[in-house]
Amino acid sequence: MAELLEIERLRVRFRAVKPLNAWLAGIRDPMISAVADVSLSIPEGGAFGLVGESGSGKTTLGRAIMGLVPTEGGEIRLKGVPFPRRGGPALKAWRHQIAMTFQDPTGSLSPRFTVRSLITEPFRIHGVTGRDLGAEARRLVSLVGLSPDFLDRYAHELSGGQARRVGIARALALDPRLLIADEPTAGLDVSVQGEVLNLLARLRHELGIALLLITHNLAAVRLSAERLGVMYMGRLIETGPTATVFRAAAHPYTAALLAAIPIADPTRHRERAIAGEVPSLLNRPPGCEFHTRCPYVQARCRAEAPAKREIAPDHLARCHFPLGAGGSG
Amino acid sequence: MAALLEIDGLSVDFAGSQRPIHALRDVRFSIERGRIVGLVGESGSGKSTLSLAILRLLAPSARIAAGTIRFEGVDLFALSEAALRALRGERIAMVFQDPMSTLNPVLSVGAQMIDVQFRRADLSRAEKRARAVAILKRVGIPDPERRIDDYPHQFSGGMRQRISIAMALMSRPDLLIADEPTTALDVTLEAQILDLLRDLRRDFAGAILLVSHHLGVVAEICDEVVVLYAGELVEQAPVAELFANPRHPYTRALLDCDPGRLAADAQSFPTIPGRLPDLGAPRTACVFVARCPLAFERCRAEAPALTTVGPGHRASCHLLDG
Repeated sequence: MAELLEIERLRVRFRAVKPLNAWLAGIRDPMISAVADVSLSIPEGGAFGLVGESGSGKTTLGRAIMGLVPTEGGEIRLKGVPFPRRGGPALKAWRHQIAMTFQDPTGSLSPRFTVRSLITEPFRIHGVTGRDLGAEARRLVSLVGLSPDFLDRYAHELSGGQARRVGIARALALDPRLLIADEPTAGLDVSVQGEVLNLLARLRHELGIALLLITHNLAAVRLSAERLGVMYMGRLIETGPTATVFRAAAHPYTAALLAAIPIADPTRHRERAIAGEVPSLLNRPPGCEFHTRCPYVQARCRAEAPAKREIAPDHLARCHFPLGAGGSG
Repeated sequence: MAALLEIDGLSVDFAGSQRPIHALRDVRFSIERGRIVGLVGESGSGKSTLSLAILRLLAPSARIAAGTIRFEGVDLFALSEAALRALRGERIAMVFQDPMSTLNPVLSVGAQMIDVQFRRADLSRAEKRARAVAILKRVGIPDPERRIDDYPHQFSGGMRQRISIAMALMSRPDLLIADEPTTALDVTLEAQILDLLRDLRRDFAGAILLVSHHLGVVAEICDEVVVLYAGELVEQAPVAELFANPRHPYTRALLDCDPGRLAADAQSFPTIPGRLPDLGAPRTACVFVARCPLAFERCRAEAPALTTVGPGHRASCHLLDG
């Protein structure tokens, strides 16, 4: 299968502390790596679920793919073409092919525009002429399952689920090849979450677009993406086929995430949650960055950062002692 | 023995542009001491209105249209402001979804935790501080002697929620209302807070009303569950019974939608087609009729009454009439 998106050893760094404050606080490096050495690929029409907790770098990775934050190393290629180093027409062409829906569904829609203007704005921005914008607007709202009555509404007149649909309609305006959906289910009622995820699945099927689903909701990924990656402190610590990772997570952090999902069955008991919290990105632990919370930590984990290793074909994890590998795990 | 909290026929209206919106209609249930009761419902179900009504913290646009709430037999709606203040935060405490909105950003955690003990004239400042340290330790703040002088922004989200739980428990309340206490947290932190609430139960004699839209959370720590839909109590049952034997079609639909209960071979996510009914309209039919897969003629003509279907198990559905 042809790869649509390829990311290799991508790095995004931010200045987290002002230089003087860093010096005063004794912080050696005031820069944080929000995305560190991330590699992944998505084939044409494929879906990749990117999961992780707050601050793990998943949104930053999505924004880097869109060219919304500068990268510092590594490469992003779309259909084999590297990300344009200069802005201008090349960047516009790049963004023609990749669209993103943002976390805050209502906040990312201008309150002063009607739905009609909101979803046809991409045509104006990209100077697409020769199309009947009224017809396009009707096509787009029906594509996301809204009736044409919505075209004259404003963002504040939409429910959370409807606002998501409008955001998706706008993202689809220019027929992108890849849709990056950043937390499409956050803040929605559980019945509405299912509607949005079903919609994304239908659009993939109907339009053949690829999907990068960014979410902290592991359950959402299970049916929505064939492959998934788990991020921790800016690193992809495990990638693999979704079914495999759910069945046999190799990294203890992935296993902890899966075990932390509350079980909607009072007769079954969840194991106790893993202790501790994510360390500061300004102060990355030496060795394996998960060793401060890992229930299986050993001396080697504190000293040496684990490299990516293949657990099974297409299943990678950064762990010295992957689970299920026998021995210590 | 009377229940700790009795909600009896409670109806709350909000002023609408043309006619009042009925946020709660004729809700009745009670909470016994020592129990954890889960209040479940989706947006617009009235669960937040109910928890605010207990503390009489409803917005000015809200009106108690009918009913009473009694706390240890005392009618909360008949209390004077002064009597109410003595109750709020002392005997009935609340934990909110966003701990940052509970904590004052310009005061250290210690200062706030000493301030909330203002009624304890019998304690010195040093004693109040020692109590604060002890309870911070209890809720799992590492190194509390040192960290008590830190400000809220110096703590992570999970730690802040632990602090707001600690503050709510300082006065040893009889009733703790926790409104979506884990919704803003990541999954590993949510699991930690649920573990904490479960642990705290052992040395906390009061009752907890846990408001949540998340059935998994409710299944983990509650003894009983109350399901609200569009302002009405549609089902109430002991937790094991509700999950094993839901009797209201809405409860069943809500359980089906829970991604944690998804069948291994599911192809798509279950949903509940349709939307909430108009909360301003008078009720002449079952509140769930428009979305119910089992609706029949009678459901459109007449609202069902709550029927007892088992020990502690009530539901309002015409199908239960047999």
